Amino acid sequence: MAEQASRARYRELIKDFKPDSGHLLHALHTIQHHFGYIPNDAVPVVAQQLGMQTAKVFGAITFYAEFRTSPPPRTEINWCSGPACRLKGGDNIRRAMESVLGFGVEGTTADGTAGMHLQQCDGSCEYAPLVWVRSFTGHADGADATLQDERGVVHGLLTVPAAIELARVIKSREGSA
Amino acid sequence: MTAYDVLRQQANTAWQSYLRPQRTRLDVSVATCSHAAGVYDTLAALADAVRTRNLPVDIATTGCNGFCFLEPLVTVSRPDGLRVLYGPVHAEDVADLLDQALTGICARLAAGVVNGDSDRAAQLADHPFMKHQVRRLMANCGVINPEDIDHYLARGGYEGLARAVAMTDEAVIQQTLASGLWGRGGAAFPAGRKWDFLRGARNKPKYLVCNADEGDPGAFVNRILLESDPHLIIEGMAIAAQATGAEYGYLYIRDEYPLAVERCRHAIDQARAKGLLGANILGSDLTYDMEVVRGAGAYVCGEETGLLSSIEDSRGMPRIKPPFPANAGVFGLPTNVNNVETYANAPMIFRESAEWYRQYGTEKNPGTKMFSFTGDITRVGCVEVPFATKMGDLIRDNFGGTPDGRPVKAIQSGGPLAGIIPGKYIDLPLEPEPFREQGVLMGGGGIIVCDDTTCIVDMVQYFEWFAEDESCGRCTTCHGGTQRHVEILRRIQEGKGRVSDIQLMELINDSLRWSNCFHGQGAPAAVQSLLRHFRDELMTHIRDKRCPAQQCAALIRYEVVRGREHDADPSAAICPTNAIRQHDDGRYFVDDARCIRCDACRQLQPDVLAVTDAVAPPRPAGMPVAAGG
Ligand SMILES: Cc1cc2nc3c(=O)[nH]c(=O)nc-3n(C[C@H](O)[C@H](O)[C@H](O)COP(=O)(O)O)c2cc1C
Ligand code: FES
Repeated sequence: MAEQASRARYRELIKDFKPDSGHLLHALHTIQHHFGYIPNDAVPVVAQQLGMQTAKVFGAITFYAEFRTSPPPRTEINWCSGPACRLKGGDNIRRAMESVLGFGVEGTTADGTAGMHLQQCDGSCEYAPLVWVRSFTGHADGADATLQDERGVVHGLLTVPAAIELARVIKSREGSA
Repeated sequence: MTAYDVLRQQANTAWQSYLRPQRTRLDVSVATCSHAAGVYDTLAALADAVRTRNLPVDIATTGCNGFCFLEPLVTVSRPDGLRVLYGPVHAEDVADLLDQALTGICARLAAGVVNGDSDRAAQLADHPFMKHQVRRLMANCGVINPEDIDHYLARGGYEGLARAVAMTDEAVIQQTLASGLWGRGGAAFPAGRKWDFLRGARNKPKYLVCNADEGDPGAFVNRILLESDPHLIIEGMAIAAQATGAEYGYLYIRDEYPLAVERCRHAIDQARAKGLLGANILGSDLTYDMEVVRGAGAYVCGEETGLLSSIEDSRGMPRIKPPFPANAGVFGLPTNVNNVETYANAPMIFRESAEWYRQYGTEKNPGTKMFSFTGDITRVGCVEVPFATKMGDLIRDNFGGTPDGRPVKAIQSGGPLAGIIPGKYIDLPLEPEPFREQGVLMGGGGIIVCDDTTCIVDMVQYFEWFAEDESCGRCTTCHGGTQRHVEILRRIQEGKGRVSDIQLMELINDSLRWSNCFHGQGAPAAVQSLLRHFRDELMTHIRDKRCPAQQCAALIRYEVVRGREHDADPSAAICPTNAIRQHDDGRYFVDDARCIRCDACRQLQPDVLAVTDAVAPPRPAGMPVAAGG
């Protein structure tokens, strides 16, 4: 029953998208925007709607860094991998946060509540080095996302000690490691 | 009155009351850069203060004017016509701003006067950041509300399109050619010629694609336009449609720019509602419409054929050329791909003229170009300057030089695939040719300045890692070659470099060149720069196992400064790996096996912790180095 309900929901979300019109990315973004990720059982629904093979949809999903195939952690540190951040010690920040959290970039805690994700520079370099902390409680299946929801809260001009404190706060808030 | 005149007249009324509002208005710059600076806190504090103090002011939004280093920016427009830009206005500055700026000037926060005169604040035009600048493309950035089409119209927007739709396609191409406009996305190909290819293509329908993938890390010139003046791009594309016969356009925006996606979608809807997109634009024969496609995080989708694949419901794999997009682009149909800034130049060429356009820049490189500068500079932001402006003038005057006045060691322009030049070339004129002569690319406008604290081996390793990470995987030369580069460079950074690595890297570079697209073909550039310009530093890593900038983690060591062994409590507390330990007598020492060289301790206690080279001092001159050892 639950499965049918979610299938109906996927279908409803992407009902306006058409085959051969360049709608795949938009459809996938729409699903991810509402569910936080692209659930496995949404893929055949998207494929059917757009008249594509399921494998091709999977192929596209896995090509892009920002489509997720599993639920996002509640709190995610998006680490900027860009050059301005690197020049200002961004890689030191990564190593320090990883050792506090006990997992690396693209890893999560065992219970999946906190995670770390590699981000590309969006030109916020005046605040380098920085991380964005994203919270995935707010915009699952619902309201329009603000820039804050989409990009997260910026922790900029980070020193390594400040990054360590931040990681410690997240670790204690999100419980088990 | 023409259809355009009607739109313009309505818009003028709206604009006049915007310029001289009945009551004071605060325009808050909402853009990706101000988001980083905490603009949402500023907005909340403003709204709160205005409500509780019951102030007769309005709050509105504007875009970013390139002064990213002063975000969050607030422009105060008063009924008397005085407009003053303030920044940075953080939440805690809101009280001061409201106390002083509504009746007088808040001198502490004033960046400059935009309109009118004041003896308490300088003109914004005299700000050092405005030196050398000519603002044509950026004329509206931070000046108008990017979500209000009337503002764009009142500032001369869509006038260029109104003229172009009255011309033949051939005349539009001629005028574009006469302006000398060339593509700003990297390859510098004349826009008019590309448009003419599409005009001559036989299949229909024809498409336009705008490349707003801006993937070069550290570059954000396109983002400034997309977020702060979206109609400029829409108008430019509509003019290209008139020139080429294209009926539909895709504006492909990278995933990292959600605000740009939102603003451009909104702008397209507004343009359509005013008859500036759709059937019979401005009463002419031109029928053209467009939509935004949001990317999903893939650098190689910036390569034009990767972009086409991505739009077509597929993995963003670059294709084998020919066929070229003008013959077989999206959905196999004729397509023209241009960069954001390329299209954005078209409106002024038609609103004014090709001769007017050529007033700035050089014979070969007419017009202006936007550049964003980041890295080791005092002010990070975006400028627009005539071609051939000296890069060093901008770094020194506009961007305030390096933070501590340290020497500029290297400059990286044009993205990870473009190469790196040493600081001695700081005064290169900003145009493609001088950069090409040094074996690098000027590129799309992102420039990264590195001071002498930078390890070039590490930066090159970063660029090669980026190239590897973003390779689509089609060509073995590309995905395998970049992977080998990363392995070798990381090994060198670990102190296990061999002299023979030089030859190996040259060999890899030779094979990378045989990749299908410019991603693989450009990947050798960073290593090439390392070998050509920074060989001494590389050899110090390889032979002496030493990183002169003391950045490579495996080649440095942390230690407690002699005499301060009892003072390291705070460092011990912050150390994420408990590497700062105590002897029985309470003296602290660094347990090297646990230390991950994150630098936290030294940042916290620079007098107590010190960095040294991990290995013994360089071997004496003349000591033989075994090949491969
Ligand atoms: C790996 C790679 C990434 C690219 N990324 C971009 C980009 O982000 N934006 C862009 O305009 N051009 C990019 N280009 C260049 C495009 O292929 C193409 O030359 C350009 O969009 C053409 O527009 P123009 O003639 O207006 O410059 C990239 C090229 C390569 C090889
Ligand atoms: S490099 Fe991190 S924001 Fe630009």
